Amino acid sequence: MAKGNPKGGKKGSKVAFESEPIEGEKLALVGASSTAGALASELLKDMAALKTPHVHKLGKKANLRPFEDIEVIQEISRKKNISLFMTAATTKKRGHTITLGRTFEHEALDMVELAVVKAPDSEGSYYPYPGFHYMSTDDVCATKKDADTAWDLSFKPFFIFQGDWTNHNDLALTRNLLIDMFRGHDRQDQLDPTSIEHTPVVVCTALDEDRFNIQVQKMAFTKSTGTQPFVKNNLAGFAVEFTIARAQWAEPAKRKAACKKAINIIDKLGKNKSKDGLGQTVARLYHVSQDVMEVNRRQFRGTKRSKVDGTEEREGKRPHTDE
Amino acid sequence: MDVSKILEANKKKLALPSPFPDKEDTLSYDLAIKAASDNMPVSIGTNFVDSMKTIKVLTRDNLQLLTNHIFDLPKDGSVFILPPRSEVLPRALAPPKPKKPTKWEKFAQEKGIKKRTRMERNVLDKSTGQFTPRFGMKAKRVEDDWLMVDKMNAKYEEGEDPFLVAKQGRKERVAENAKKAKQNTFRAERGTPAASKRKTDIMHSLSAAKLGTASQGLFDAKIANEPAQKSHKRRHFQENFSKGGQSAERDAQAKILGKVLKRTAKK
Repeated sequence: MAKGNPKGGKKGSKVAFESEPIEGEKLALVGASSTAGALASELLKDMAALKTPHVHKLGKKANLRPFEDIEVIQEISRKKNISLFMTAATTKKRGHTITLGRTFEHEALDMVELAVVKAPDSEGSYYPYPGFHYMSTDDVCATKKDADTAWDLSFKPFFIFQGDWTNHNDLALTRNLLIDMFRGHDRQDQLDPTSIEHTPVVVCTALDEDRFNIQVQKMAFTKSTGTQPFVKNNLAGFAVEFTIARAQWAEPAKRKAACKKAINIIDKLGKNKSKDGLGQTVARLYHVSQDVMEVNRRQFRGTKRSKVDGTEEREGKRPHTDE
Repeated sequence: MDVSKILEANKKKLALPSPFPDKEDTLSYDLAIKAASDNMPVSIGTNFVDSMKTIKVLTRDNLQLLTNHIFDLPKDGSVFILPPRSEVLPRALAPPKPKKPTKWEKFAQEKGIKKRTRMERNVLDKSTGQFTPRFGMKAKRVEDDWLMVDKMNAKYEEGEDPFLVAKQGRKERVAENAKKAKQNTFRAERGTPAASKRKTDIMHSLSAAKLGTASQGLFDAKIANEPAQKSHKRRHFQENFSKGGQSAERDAQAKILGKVLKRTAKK
């Protein structure tokens, strides 16, 4: 890591962030574009709440627009090592949208723009954003007790994916992105059972090949006939229906590079060594293949090859009497 | 026989719900990220309120199945141990380049030596077969403990001061370890820019040191593979009769004049 610019000056040097074999928490850059309306802004706030406190919030002045100007986000990623981003925008063409995305080595890897589904007129008005399939966290929590809807910020969500998320590329990659966005990190390899009732559950239900419902629920445990608890689920946060408006997915080569695992060189036994079934180390000596006939060895009468076909070579000078 | 109490307890138990939902468990799980995926297609209309109701019912069963799987995980005390992740997720930064293992790391890996994470308070005393404290009041102590001599190097001759012997031993070991640590860094940095930088730094210091002597280091002891020194002259004068003749001398002078004029012109 270079520190300090040899030429001096305000800019300083590029401080590269050191990579670790197992990464910690990924931060998310959250900010609305200047076009974002009330619904989009509130929805962004609701979604960012799932990621708190690993969130870096920016205001509308920053005007984050990933599809139009990705460089702004990449620059922030470089400076602060933020690899996820969540922005909101409102356009006439697509309506209220949330764009989710992630970076690799501070360059955009994937991004998807999710548009809030507009309710058909036949459905009637639905509070407080009539005409949209969206219930904000405030709406949901207004009629419920705090204990039923509050979740602990230190617990990362559970995920439930319902419906067909695998058959369509856009939906499959969106699923991967949603998991990446809200999950914890790989260093956490333990789960405390007492925390489950205070953990949010992100429920994503695929309704169509480009439409899905995403909502936040919470589990409540009660006694059951078995050792496992009986689960009761309740809506504890926002609920919204999205369609995939547009997406930009990474090239397969870049994705492969991004998904590469860290190699632990010490784990490898070394060349030519392996362990057999009993746990014993078995090593293979490198040796050129040996032709038994050509190798230099003590030659006995029986192993000698005849010089001319048909005749036998004999040791000693006794006359041949077998013919 | 009074079975009414048992019957009542059983009645209470039967009134409890079953943790096994009616649906078949065809979900795929990745417990490392606490995710369950139900691939069964859902038939939900376009009405938001209705869809929410359907989703709630469907989710309850899936959450129940997920919880059951979690409660089947192995436990470490009171917490569940999560299995390694199966979902392929990209990293934020490229993985670090694997570092060459040091001499010790290689040896430790071959011998299967693992770093001691925590020392237990009690140690098994082999002679008595009892557990005694490692230190403190009831600990079993070494015979000549009053001497407090280094366990590693307690050998000393008659008449020698054991404390001085131990101190000397410690000094030697510290120096040896420092030397080994230095060798380790050199070994690890072999081939990297740090190593070549070190070499050029040494060469620069060497030439600077040579310049300090009157003879430019002509009579100094040479290091192995030291490059031949180019000049042993402290002061360089130009030849009275230059090699290129008058034209070369004229060109050289003109060059200097040009530089001077350029500088004055700039001012």
